[in-house]
Amino acid sequence: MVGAHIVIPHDALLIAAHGPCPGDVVEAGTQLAMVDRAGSICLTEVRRVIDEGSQVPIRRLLTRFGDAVVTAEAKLIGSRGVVPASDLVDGDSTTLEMVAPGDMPRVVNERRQPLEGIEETTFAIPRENGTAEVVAGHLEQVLRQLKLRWETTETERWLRFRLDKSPTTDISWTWSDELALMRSLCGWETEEGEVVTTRARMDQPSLRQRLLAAHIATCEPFSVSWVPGYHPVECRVTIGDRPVPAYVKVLRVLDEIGSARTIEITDPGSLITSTLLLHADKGASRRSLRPARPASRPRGGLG
Amino acid sequence: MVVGTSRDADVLLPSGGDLNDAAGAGDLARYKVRGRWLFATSNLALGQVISEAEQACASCLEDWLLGTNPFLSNAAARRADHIEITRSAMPVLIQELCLRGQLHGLGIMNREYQPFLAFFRKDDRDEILRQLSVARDLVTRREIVGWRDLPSPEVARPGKAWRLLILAHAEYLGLGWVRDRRELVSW
Repeated sequence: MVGAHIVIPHDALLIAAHGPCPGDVVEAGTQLAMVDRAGSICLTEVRRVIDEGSQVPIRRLLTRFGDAVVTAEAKLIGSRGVVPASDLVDGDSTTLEMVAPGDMPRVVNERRQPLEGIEETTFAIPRENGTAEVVAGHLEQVLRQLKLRWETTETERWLRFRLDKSPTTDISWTWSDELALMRSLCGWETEEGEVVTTRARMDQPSLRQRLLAAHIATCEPFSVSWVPGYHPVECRVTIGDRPVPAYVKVLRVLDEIGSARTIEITDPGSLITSTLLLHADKGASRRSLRPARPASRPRGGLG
Repeated sequence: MVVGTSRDADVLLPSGGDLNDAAGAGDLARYKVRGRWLFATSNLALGQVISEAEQACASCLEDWLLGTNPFLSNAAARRADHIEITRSAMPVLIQELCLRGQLHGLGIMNREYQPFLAFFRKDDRDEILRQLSVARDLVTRREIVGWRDLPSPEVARPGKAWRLLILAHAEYLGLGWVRDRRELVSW
């Protein structure tokens, strides 16, 4: 049977059967959530991975529900059909179809590793607004349970946790546990003793991705703001029970250079990336990934 | 030629009247920038206004290396040469310049843990990266990095405000915490 080919940036967030994962850990046999030609949400299997290993133009699309990372040649599903990623501009009126976390396939096999894929070991939590007081006890309890070593430093404005990360095994750890831990480590604002807003900087893509992945995997309602809007340096993730729209606007488009790979999936349709839909090309013809020229805009928080 | 916001009605229409009515009658030009209305006394293209704002900001940042609002917008408003841009219009134009990639910014945290930007020119990106690299290197090797520990920029800039902003950005990046606004203390 003819499958479909799709080019996935390593930094893309895909929805696998075991939960959201970055594009570079997907392998043959991984089951990924997609919307098939009939419009049903289902799982498709990755037949094979062709790792090009080249640097290609990437577009990071900032929306109210996170950032979707696609190649510049990708096609997304919009309210009026297929939308080339290359056509998107900041504040575009084009709306893209999104899949609410609650509609995605339920995560199976919940066994996880805490803080998987996160590079950060130091977390500075605000003190003067009461956030540190709310999260400190929970953090120490969890870190003890995980048998992780840590040290704290207190200043007038900050409570800083430095984690001595080491591999953990045989720990029963679910996405709910991960979300609770992420919300404490990234906690920024609280209300009535609960963290309501978490924060990750633009130069912390793996941390941000993990935070959003945990929200998606647990179907905990959230929304994202990118601040300041005209030149985002961080994102704020706020919990809340607002209805999830069927379509979402792209607030900002950031052009980068990144690694990507082509995967072959068994079924044609649209792969879910972050909460957006990525159109997969039917057939065995493989697009070659052209090496990219340097992007005009720098990546990350500087610039 | 004056460009302003609704707060500048007395400058834009000295004889009085409603700004939107005047725009409708063709007496003022009107542009929507970053969700805000800007009004101009002449029929200027928005591109000309943005270009003037860019030159004014660049002139300030050439001297300062880094600048924050309201200082940058106030000073740039004074330096705008060919078109008078009011102090209330300049921040809107600075945001537009950032959006277009003609001005860049470093994240800084205010007292309420909300981010704001220290702006710099595209041409100074390498210098900014160099200063941050030095700050990062120093704070991993010493307990305290003072503003004087940062090297002089390759193109000399008077004043020390940019040094304090580099340290503030280092705190924003989680490299340490700033004491008395002038020292970065290693975690």
